[in-house]
Amino acid sequence: MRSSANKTTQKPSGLEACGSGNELFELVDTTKRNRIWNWENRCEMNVSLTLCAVIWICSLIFALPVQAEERVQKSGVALFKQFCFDCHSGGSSEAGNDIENLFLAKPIVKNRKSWNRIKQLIEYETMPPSDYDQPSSYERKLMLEWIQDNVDQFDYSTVKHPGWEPVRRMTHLEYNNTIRDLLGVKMNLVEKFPRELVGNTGFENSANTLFLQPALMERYIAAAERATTAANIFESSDTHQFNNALQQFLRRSYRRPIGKTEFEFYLENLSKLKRQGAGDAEAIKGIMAGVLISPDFLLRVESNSDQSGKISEHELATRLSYFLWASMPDDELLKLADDGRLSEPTVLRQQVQRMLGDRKSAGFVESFVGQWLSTRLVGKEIRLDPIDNAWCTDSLMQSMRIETLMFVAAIIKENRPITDLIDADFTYVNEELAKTLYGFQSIRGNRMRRIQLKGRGRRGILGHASVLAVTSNHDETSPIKRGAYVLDRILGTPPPPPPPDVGELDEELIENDRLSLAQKLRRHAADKKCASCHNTIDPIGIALEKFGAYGRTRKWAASTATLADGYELRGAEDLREYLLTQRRSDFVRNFVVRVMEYALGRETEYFDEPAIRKIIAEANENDLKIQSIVHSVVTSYPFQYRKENPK
Amino acid sequence: MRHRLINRRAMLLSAGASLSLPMLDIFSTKSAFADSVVADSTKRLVYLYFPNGAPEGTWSPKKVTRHGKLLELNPWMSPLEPFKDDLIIPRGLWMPEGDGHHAGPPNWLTGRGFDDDRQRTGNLSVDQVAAEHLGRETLLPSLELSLKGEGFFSNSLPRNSISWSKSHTPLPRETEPQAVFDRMFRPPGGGATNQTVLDGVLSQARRLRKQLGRADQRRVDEYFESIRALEKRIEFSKKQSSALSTDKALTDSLIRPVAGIPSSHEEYVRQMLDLLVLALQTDATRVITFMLDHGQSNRYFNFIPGVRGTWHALSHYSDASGRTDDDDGKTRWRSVKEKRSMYAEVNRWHHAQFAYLLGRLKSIREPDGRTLLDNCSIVYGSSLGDGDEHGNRDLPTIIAGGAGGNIRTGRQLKLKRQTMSSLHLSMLQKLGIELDQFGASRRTYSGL
Repeated sequence: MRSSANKTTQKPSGLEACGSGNELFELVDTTKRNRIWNWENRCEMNVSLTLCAVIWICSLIFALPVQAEERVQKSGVALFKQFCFDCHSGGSSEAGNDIENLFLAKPIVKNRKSWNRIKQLIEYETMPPSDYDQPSSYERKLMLEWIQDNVDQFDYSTVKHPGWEPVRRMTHLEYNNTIRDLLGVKMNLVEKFPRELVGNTGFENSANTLFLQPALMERYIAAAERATTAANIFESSDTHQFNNALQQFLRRSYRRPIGKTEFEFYLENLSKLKRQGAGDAEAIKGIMAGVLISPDFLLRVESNSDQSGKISEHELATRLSYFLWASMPDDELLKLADDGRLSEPTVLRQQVQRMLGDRKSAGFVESFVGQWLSTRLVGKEIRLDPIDNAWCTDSLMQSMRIETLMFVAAIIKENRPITDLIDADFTYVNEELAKTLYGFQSIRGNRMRRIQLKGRGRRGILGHASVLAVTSNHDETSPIKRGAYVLDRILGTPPPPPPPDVGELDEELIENDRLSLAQKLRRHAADKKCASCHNTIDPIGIALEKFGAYGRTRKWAASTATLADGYELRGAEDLREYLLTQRRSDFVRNFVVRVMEYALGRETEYFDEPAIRKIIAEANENDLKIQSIVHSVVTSYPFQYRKENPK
Repeated sequence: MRHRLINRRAMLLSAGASLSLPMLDIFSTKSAFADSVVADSTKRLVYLYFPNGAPEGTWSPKKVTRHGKLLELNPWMSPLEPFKDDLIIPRGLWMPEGDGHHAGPPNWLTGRGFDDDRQRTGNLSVDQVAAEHLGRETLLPSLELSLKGEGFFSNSLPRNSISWSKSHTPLPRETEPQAVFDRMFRPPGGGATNQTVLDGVLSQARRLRKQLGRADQRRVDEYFESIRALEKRIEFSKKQSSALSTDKALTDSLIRPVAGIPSSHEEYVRQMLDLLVLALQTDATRVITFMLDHGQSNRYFNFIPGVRGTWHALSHYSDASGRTDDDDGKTRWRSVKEKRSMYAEVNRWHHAQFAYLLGRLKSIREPDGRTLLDNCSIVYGSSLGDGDEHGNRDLPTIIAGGAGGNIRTGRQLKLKRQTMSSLHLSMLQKLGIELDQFGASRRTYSGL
């Protein structure tokens, strides 16, 4: 199958990867032969569909002779050509999706995200568009089969690459925390910084969105001035003492040891400034401000990897601290790095534990959870007009955000399994939150405190007012939004966007006041075009219908629906069970991937798959304890190595 | 001459916090900030972006001669009626590389597609190409403005990024009037701007650059450019302050807008437009892009009489139920027609702001005798056609200004299959920048 002959053809030899080698090019390149082939192919299918099905089933069960297996391969590829390439091939492909090109990628899993989208579109029958030739259900099956065999079942054993991202600046949050820990200055220095923009990962710490443009540099200059003015300047008439303090400041600022020449360079600059007429304090302030705008401070430089790509001890300290604290490494981490001991497994384990126990880990919780679950939008993008809704106060919004943060912080601190995110029997409330939204009457005072949940109804993040508000349309619940949110954020299997030719809920249906929203959605889902997707989305949202827009209990709402796979959900309790049993592996995988993407500051790629699988396996061995997952992430290959990406 | 200029500006700027400058064309507008004296016909380039498109039909002028001369716009464009002789309405523009809310903004000025996986385009944007040529002599090579986004997506990278200084570097946008003012009149200062300190930082960056691999150097290069831009700014601002120091009254009277965002949206837009005009007039920069919102704005325009609901929701007018995922859950409409007309009304409101800008520019006389508008090339438009259908074959666009006498205005140009890239190429050529390709386009926009 993998003849070397195709290397002599005109197109690049990306073919072996798709398993069917030459055939694809024969199909793609020679239109005439192709047409004949397709015709034969179709005849074969139409006439002896049953026979084919038998062969196909057999090929699944037994390792059939090559010939039969090839048939599945061939049919799969040919069907993509037949049904997709009309619009999705060549330079001007519809929606920018050039499927022909995907076949040429090497390895084929390079575009696994695109393949997953294609899989959904075929599965939900949203593609090809309804006014184009439709594949039979058998043909759809063959196409899915092809993706499964070649993409999902891809053999990753030869893939070894730690990934790479360019050096990046700190995020605004990291910058502010770093100045706090470096100078002891507690002020909001980043208020006037240009807004941080977010790309694919949903996290603003992704390297590919952290730019350093002139407009930002001007902000750094101003912030450096404010920070050094507010900070205590180290002055000393004792030269030794002073040099020591300067040395320490530089080491902590640059998160690495300072060489002799480098240090002397600063001493020299210091005397230069004094010669220009600056007083002692002013000169030192100038040096400090210079450090705060220097590339070694602003950028997280990683340059010391050896041949294997392993990052240095100090770079590891920096990765750790920005991951778990969203701030600079402290003296203990730097000391261990100086001694070359940080990467020792036992030391690293202790350090991760120590860091998670430190209050600075709030930086991780706030940044990771707030962005992963979007709960940090509560009170900003998510809010109601306080004139019409007097209960919707700033303090309530804050309590809603904090509930989720304290909840996750507790799971981390107590090293609970990540399944507790979904069904822990405790949460955090104060009087306002408890009374206004949850109907718990006995809580007094503003202090957020831990309470034990008596019923099963409100367990886990899906019972949190923050999450329920984020997934509502203003002051009305949206089962579609909630369903899509769970599929995307919690399970990592986002539904495809509605196809362009499908409308939203039709007007007549909407106007029918006798129907509940759940009933309307069921009608909507009965429309065949919409059904395939909505049967996987809506029931999840409907199961949460007993929670109002801001998480208020609504006993009257209907909350029973049946998922496409026949699983009946009767309310939130069933949904939790469904997530933790039927969808457990998706849930675990998604959590691991999100933490990885946050920790690495980039999207995970196909070459991260071996590491992801290893972390998942270790998580399962450790009862899904959250700290052990964090530990697996920091000991993983991509976290400790860095190499330029394969082309 | 200089003295008179300054007095004039002192008068203008003391007029009030809104910075509105009355027409006073007896004074010259020689720049206090430009490196050299402004040559005759200093050309400027301005792009104004608005999201969510415009309903089909609302962009068609009502009366046009056989040769395309604009005789009458239409009710939806009424605020622009007084300026119809200063406009070109190009029809049939499209972006083959991708349009809409998401890929549209990055594509609008780059014309090379947006790579979602790598968050980059394939080109620098037309304004940045222009800035490389026109920006050498000004305080700022270019100025990027935006109204502060609201709602979901307001921190989405593609939806907020129309200007790219490299194919992988989108430029951040100033959203606060005070910050815009400060970038022009308050240079960065303090310990870090001491030349000894900056020299030290630069030598550090050079050392670092040597340590790093090729791909990492890119980021250090970004850093270098930022520091160099800063040095240039400090140098320019010295000239600026020596020019200003001759008249203390002026320095005292440059009215710095108050911090924060004005609560009235119209006041906000006008302050930003006033600052835009001030920047062009004082030659602080010759290239400005202004996003009137991010690519999928969900802003409320309830302050316009008869308009309800968010902008993006209105643009999907064919479902007036108020219950779609684009809706806010509380706004409903009586009919599709009603919703559609509100969508058009939001466009008309933006036309009124655009007309305000045109009026301001027209009121300012330049040293060459032309108006500031005559010396500008302005493109005002969206990366989406009719928002309901996500149309992409007739992007609502208006060209204004005469490019220093190089563009004949007052016309509708009905041409088929012309791309935004070909328009950009033509605009660059009209500015005297000799390029034969922009984006994927080697053809200029015929008819301009």
